[in-house]
Amino acid sequence: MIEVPGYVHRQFTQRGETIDFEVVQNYRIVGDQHTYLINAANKNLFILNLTALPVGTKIISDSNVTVTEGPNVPLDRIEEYSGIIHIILPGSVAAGDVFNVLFYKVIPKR
Amino acid sequence: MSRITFHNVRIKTVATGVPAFFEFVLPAHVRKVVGILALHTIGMENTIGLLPASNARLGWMHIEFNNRGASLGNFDVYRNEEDATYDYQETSVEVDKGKLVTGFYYHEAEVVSLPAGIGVLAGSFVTPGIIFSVYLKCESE
Repeated sequence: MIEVPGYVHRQFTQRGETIDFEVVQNYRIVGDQHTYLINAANKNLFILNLTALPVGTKIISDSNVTVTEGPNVPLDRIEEYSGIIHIILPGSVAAGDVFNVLFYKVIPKR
Repeated sequence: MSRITFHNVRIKTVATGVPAFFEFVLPAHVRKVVGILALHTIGMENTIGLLPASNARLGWMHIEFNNRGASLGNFDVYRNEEDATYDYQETSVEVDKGKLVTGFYYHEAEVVSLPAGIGVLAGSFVTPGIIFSVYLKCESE
């Protein structure tokens, strides 16, 4: 398994940036609404539980796009997003279904 | 003494709504990227149905330099016309030697299937299969 804080810190060191603040944040997503918007301008969000989202969920941000494949992806797959993030649930998700999306949120020092 | 060189990368899309990622290293003589142009290069390959109109927006692209250290942001990609001319968008990115240029192209435009009876099966799956190019105008040693 990838050790997440170490991985995130190495990423920023390699880019020549330093981290000002970091926190793990949970976003609760309910099937009643199929599109969610997260404002991550000037922030970097690393998703930690991509496998928990239903197959076909699209996560579209300014810097990365992911189409989830459910349990077919490795457990420690980490994707990074920044800017405006749209989470679009597939049409098969029923109202009342609940998904928890866990992000490792980083604010770089400017 | 610096000179201007041009570099391009071509990416083929798989399907609408699926990002096509790219990753490459610019030659070591490149010092600075001074212009960028993202273009739909080759027509819709192996497609059936109605193609998007000329100059229609097909999708968008994101590009980053220096191992994701310098982001240039997002660019819209349009279906170009054969006789059109395009200008490079001015940029000023100092390129570190040997570092990766990464990004992706996200195809959004749908190819509309024709109804049955006009030679195409209704509801048949259509692959966009377009190739788009990123042209980089660079200042080299």
